[in-house]
Amino acid sequence: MMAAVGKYILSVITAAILCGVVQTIAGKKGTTGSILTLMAGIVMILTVLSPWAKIRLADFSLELGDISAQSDNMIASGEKAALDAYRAIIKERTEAYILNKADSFGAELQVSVSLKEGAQPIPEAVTISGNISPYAKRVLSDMIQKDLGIGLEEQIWTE
Amino acid sequence: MKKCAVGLIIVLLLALPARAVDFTAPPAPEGAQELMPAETESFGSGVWKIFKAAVARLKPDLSEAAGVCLSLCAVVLLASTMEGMPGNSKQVTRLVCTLTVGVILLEKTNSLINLGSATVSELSEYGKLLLPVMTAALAAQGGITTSTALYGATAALNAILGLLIAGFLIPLIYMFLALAVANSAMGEQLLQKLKNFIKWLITWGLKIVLYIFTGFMGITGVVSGAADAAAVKAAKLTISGVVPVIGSILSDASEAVIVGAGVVKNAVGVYGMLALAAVFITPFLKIGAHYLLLKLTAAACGVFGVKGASDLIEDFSSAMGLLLGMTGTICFLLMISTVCFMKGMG
Repeated sequence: MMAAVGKYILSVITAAILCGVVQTIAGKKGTTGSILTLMAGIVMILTVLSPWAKIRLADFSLELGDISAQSDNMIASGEKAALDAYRAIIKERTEAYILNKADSFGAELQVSVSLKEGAQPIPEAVTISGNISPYAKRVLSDMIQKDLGIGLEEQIWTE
Repeated sequence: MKKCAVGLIIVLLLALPARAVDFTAPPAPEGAQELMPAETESFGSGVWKIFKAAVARLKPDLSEAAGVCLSLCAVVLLASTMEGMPGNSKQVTRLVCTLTVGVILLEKTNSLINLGSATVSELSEYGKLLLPVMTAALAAQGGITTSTALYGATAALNAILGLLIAGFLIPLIYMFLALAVANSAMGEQLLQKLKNFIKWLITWGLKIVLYIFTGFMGITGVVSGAADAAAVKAAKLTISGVVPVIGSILSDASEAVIVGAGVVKNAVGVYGMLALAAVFITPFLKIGAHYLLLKLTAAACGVFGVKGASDLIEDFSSAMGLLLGMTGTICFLLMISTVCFMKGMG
């Protein structure tokens, strides 16, 4: 790189000096002087711009890719991460709510809530195990249906 | 008793951890990792620590730059003395002085240009890793429209600016230097206009890119941010209208996810900006020190009466200024973009 840069700068300086010398010898007045000044200008411009002539537009491939597709992928991964976290929190809090209610009846239960698939993960079923009195079970079951929207048929009670 | 139980439930619900969406910032590039502060929570103190660490590493470069400037002063002083001696050709003295100044500065300038170019590509590459994480984090927070618009603009401009700098602006700096040396060697102002045009082209090229970018980011931030905020609010209202208790749980969970994603997004953003600063600061200080010292040398050499040499040194310092502008532009672009991602959705 340094060699190429040095070569380029040297060629520009050499051309500048040569043009200067030619102009000094021939003078700037008269037809010859004008033509030489014009020629010197053309030579200088060609020398300065010479590296650009070697550049091909094909060398400048802009690797943009499909920005729209990339952005869609990233957004999808962000939404998925958010939805996973959302589902986990809903499951955790719903189970905590049921356990808390059961605790008020003195019952020690194990609760597992399953959620609907999709963007709105509403609780759809619950599996409850442990010892609980028939009265407490009925009250809790009604409460789950009323407060959490899980129908009686979606509540699975095991010993 | 009933009130106590309800209170207990609410406390329990609130005490449950807000399961944060898991996003991690890409680690800072190898060279910049040494400068990264141990704690990256505060941007202000982090930048200050990076700055202090970078300044501590600058001493050898400062002595080297001072050595170069002293040798330039010696050359110009010698040329000034030679010019004053009878029988010496002013043109030859000027030519020899110009070539000597050119040779002294060219190698150092080339290594600094390479450093600037490498910094631009390193910043650009880090940006390509950071932007997807910020996009996903903003999307997780509900800013779908904003993240799409911000990512599209930043990714496109990052790629375009990287290509523009490497393929067009860096060669233009070399051309500017060649013209400066040739102009000084010829002793006439034939190439002055072409040289000034190149400087103008680089400066305005960078300015236009920044104007377009900041304008677009500002408009996008306001328009898309408002649309996303309205969409999230509407979704929350819909959720809270479901069965009373579950509606409240869903609404709280939604809030927890949004807050959690926001916290993670801001942490990633602060780390990312500190990493960008750590990549940028050392080359910036190195090039900046050379820029200032060359300006000082040009001013000092002007006193000796060798205008050509003084102008040439000034031109080399201008080239350093242009290089600072290029590296600064890409760093600024990525920082502004990160801030926009952090600001999106609040």
